[in-house]
Amino acid sequence: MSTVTDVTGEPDRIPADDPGLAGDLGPAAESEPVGDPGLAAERDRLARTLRETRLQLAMTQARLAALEQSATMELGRTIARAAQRPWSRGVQLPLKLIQLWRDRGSPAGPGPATLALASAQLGDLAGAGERFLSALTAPGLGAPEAASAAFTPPGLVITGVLTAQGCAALGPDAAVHPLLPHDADVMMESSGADIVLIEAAAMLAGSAWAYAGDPAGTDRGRRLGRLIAAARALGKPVVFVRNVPAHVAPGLDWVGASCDAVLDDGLGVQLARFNPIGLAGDRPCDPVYAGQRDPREPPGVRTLLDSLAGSVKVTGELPWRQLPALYREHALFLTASAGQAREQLACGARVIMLTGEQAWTASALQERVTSARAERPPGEAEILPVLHEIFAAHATPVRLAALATATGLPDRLVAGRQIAVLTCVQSPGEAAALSARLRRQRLAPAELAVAVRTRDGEGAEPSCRDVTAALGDLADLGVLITAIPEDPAVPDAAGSGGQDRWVSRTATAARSPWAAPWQAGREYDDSYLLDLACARECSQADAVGYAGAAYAYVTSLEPALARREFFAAGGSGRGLRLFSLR
Amino acid sequence: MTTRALVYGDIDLNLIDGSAIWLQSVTQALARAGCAVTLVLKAPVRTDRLITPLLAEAGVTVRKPYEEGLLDGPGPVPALTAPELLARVDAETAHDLVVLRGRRVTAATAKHGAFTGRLWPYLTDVPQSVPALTPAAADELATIASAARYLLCQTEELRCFLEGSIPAACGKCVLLPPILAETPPARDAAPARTPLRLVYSGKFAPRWNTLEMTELPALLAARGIEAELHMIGDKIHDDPGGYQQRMRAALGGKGVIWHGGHSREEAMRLAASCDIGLSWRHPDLDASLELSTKVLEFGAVGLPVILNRTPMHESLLGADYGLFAASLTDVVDAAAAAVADPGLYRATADRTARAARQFTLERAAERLRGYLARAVPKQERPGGEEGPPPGASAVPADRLRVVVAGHDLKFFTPLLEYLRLRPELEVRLDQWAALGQHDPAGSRELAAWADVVVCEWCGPNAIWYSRHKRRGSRLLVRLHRFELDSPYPAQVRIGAVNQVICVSRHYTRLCLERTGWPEAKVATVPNALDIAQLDRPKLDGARFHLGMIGIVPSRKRLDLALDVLEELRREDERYLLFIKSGMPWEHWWVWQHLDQREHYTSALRRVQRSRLLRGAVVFDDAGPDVAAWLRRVGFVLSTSDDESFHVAPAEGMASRAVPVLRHWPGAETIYDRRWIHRGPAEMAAAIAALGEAADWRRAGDDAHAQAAACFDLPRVAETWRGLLTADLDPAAPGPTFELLGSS
Repeated sequence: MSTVTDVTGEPDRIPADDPGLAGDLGPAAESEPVGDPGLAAERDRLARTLRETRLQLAMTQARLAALEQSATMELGRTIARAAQRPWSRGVQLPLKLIQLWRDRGSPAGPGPATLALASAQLGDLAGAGERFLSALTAPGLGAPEAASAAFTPPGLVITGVLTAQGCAALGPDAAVHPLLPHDADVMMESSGADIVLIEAAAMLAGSAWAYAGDPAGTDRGRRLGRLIAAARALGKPVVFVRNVPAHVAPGLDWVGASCDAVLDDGLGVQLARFNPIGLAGDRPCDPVYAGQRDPREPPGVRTLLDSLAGSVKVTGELPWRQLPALYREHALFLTASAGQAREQLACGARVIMLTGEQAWTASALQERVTSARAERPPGEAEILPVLHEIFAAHATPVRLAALATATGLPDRLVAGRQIAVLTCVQSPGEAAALSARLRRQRLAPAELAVAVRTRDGEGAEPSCRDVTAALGDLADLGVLITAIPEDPAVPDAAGSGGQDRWVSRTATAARSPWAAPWQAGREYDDSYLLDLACARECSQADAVGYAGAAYAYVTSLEPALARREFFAAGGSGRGLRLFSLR
Repeated sequence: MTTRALVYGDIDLNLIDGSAIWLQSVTQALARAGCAVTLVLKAPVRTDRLITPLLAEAGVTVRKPYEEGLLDGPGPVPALTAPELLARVDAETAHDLVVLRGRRVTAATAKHGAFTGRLWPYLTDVPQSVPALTPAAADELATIASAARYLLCQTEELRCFLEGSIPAACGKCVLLPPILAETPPARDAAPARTPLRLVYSGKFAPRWNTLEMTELPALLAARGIEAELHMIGDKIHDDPGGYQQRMRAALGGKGVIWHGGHSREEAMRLAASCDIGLSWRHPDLDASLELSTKVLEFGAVGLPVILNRTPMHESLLGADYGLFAASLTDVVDAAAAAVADPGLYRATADRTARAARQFTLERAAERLRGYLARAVPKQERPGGEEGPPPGASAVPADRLRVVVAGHDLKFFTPLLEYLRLRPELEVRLDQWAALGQHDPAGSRELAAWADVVVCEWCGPNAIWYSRHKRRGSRLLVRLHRFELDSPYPAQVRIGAVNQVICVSRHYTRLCLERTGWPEAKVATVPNALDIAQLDRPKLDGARFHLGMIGIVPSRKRLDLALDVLEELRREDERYLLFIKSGMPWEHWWVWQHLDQREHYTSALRRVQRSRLLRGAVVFDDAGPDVAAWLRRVGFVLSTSDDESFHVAPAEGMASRAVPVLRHWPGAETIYDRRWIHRGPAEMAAAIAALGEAADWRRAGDDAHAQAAACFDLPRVAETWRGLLTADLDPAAPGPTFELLGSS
């Protein structure tokens, strides 16, 4: 075996320590290095020194934290306390010592793991050139799937060890910078990310980080360790997304122990991908099992699927990009995965779960499949409630908001559901009624921008104050209230674009990226905002509303929810993508 | 003379656990491999359960330091005292190898220095994850690796982890899987009986879930299954939380039958009287890089085993093995299923039995015989069975004196090690400080001493020896590639050279054309590969991963490899390119050339900008862990403009990856034309054509067979051994192929 310790693995490679052998590069090979490479090397060296210093700082901090929690330190403190106040502490000493003895060696959470990680990584900082490499191979701004979100600049910036599927899931709701093993720590530094995600699935085959958790991929495991240590040294929250079964990659336990948080629920359903838009009314109801049979499937599932052999179509392995289309093309699926079931339901299909609460016998399952096959494909009335439930509990923005909260980031960074309700009221009483209606909404607005029409004889400022006070309940729920005076001398309607004048004024005052005009005196369904937001999330449209078409893109409509800039500019909708709910 | 092995473990053989049984087994395996084995005990003998079988083994001597008065006190031997003790035993009769188990003892012995080059440590209690491998631990392991001849690894996983973490371990790690010594008769083929007899054997400790197991009889009874739990062992973990007391109490519980400690044979006999073995453990142990010997022992006596689902267990028993369990409820479910379904019981028992058959004592002895042949100098034997190959001149009665001279011997080292083991050869090294720097006095002395001089590279060393070699001695020069474009060959006094060895027929031809040397002076011997080291199981999904080893200088044509990848990813984005290489800017003599810089800048910019390449190219660290790295690679690319041999595709073939070569001049004189293609489009098409797993695997096996037949180290080394005494036939001018249109 060739001992590949240097450049090329070749007998005729250029020995690293002997430029005289650089035969195929000519006589000039023996001259001194020229300026540019020297400068690049110096820049690289300084950058490396900086990273090393940060890692050393991280290790020192972790060591200090571990020391403060250590039994030895605690023992010292206990004895010191006892010595200082012999009567009050002295009698407690034996019990305390017993407690310390019992606790010795017990795991103490991420502290020691981080310490160990930082310590382990320090010995591995010899690699050179990553900065230069990254300058040339940086993955660029945004993930490959992020282009469709260009109209709504995401507030949250995510980087990390991500699969292509992960990027596709996160892309509509965040700016995503996937990292590669060879320059991860350098790129992480320069990405300005709010959060670093480590996806367990990214360590499986087919991904740039493949095998980072495998003993045969220790080189990449070390790179991952360096990334985590460097991110924590920079104060960035690091979250491990454990989205593969532990038995597939048991070597990743240390990753979870080294991160700030572990997310076991995956990245959720991305409704921009999995949605019921463009469903054919006559799609087939023949049952489909999407994927290939898994040799690891539990015996019960295996028996059930075997019993359906011939009556269920098993698709085999499919590229992940094709799944939404497949789910929309069929009306009936069987699955043993709750996550897959949600994606299929979001695409308007019926799903028979093989596991979970329903304990099937082979005959009962066969009966259910037969009856489901005979039913008509689900219609809007069946699909939308399920879709709304997924939107409210399992969609990607829900997971991201939870993640932001868990890591101490403001959840407003997840911008897609930050909606400002734009309205106009005339009195505190009207405002109080508005507050009550908005509190009943299943999706609470992030903001209420209210134009206050002053009455004759009242000053603008007292009116706004009274209205704001009447909206106190909403403010208590975290809704940002912005009240602006409305000049009664100006006519109500007929602003530019046909929208009420107060709409553009409140939209200008609001801060949220999305806005929904709200007529104060009108009754709205409790799902009004949720319907709109869900439709927008599914369609990724610039404006949604009611134009007579059910869940379809249209060429014109009066927006009920749109980007705030749309209303602020007076309602000019040229070139926008428009989507109709009904 | 018999090979002598010294065996010591930081293990008390009075207690039965996995490590004690291993020590017993490895002693037996070494004896069966033909060694005279001296086993030194750590502790005074209180029970001879494990020692008795060894005393009956031919060739085994058991040394008892306390009973023999080698050490005072009650024992056991402290770890730091062990090296001195072993040195005293070794002083009585020198040993060829020293097998050690226990990290502290091994580290102390490595530092002691008395056994450098003879240590064969079996490493288990070592860090097994990235964070656990602190710099201090890595330093200690590097010290051990440097002192070792081999590092014995229980599993491929541990071997790869060590190689990937400790560069000094690369090339020294060899497998020594668990060993099953003679096993008692297996259980009959009957289904599980009533009452169901579950059995556990080994230590009682929290992470081995032994306390939880004692609940099984009651839990199964609740399901209507009468069951007994048979517990074998006497080593109970102790901690301040009172685990030992609770475990002891549970061992007296209803339905639990505690047999205490027994010899391995008796423990297996007891197990054979049961129905299902238990090896269900805490998930913390799922990432362990070790395989439980107990699982194999249960299998050997015909029992199915309930155990955790881990990649290692899946590869041992199959992903669809029916008795994996992750929780106590799973264990109950699995046991109940095995009782209810005789087919499941039989199928799982067959799986464990089949797995166990790979780990017999005889297989271990055979493995050790192979390692011994490569590590311990061959002994003179009457009858000349180790004599020179046919056609070579007779070896003189006294040893042939061989000097190997060169500044960079990394490609000759495997051959050098091989030659050093030959009893008829005495090999010395003339290590040149640099291409043209050496100690003339030392070289002169060696030239006068040598019967044969081998110059690695046709550089100033070859020039010097062609002028200073002793009259009547042989001079061999190995020429690789760069030398042909240098002024050195013209300065070599070819009349003094017996033969020049090129690594491919193409370069032999070029050498003859450019130097005008007589045809009889130039022969071809390919590079040598350690096929066994490279032949390792591929990782899941490797067939979609292209590999490239070395991208510097630009004639390696990274740009063409990117063309191949782009072509493939147009249809299937699972394909990725992994590059194991240093980078061009790390070599100023490369990076100072504008054309070189432009080449890499342009290629790397493509990696960034191309929709098909972005995120699909990974630059892995250069390093000696090639064998472990190749496990992730399904196809090895060779896109160069020019090569003398290109070891990378050959290494890939040995690893069962499929080689994919662009037709550089002479490629067809080394590699099967099946692997050679006109350019990137054809290369991509050839890869895509092997998209089905079975096709890819079959092609990889074919490639492996070719590499083993052509490049295997013993075969190539034997050719070199012959060269020391006789010229090879000059290279027959091979057919000149038209290039296949490489651009």
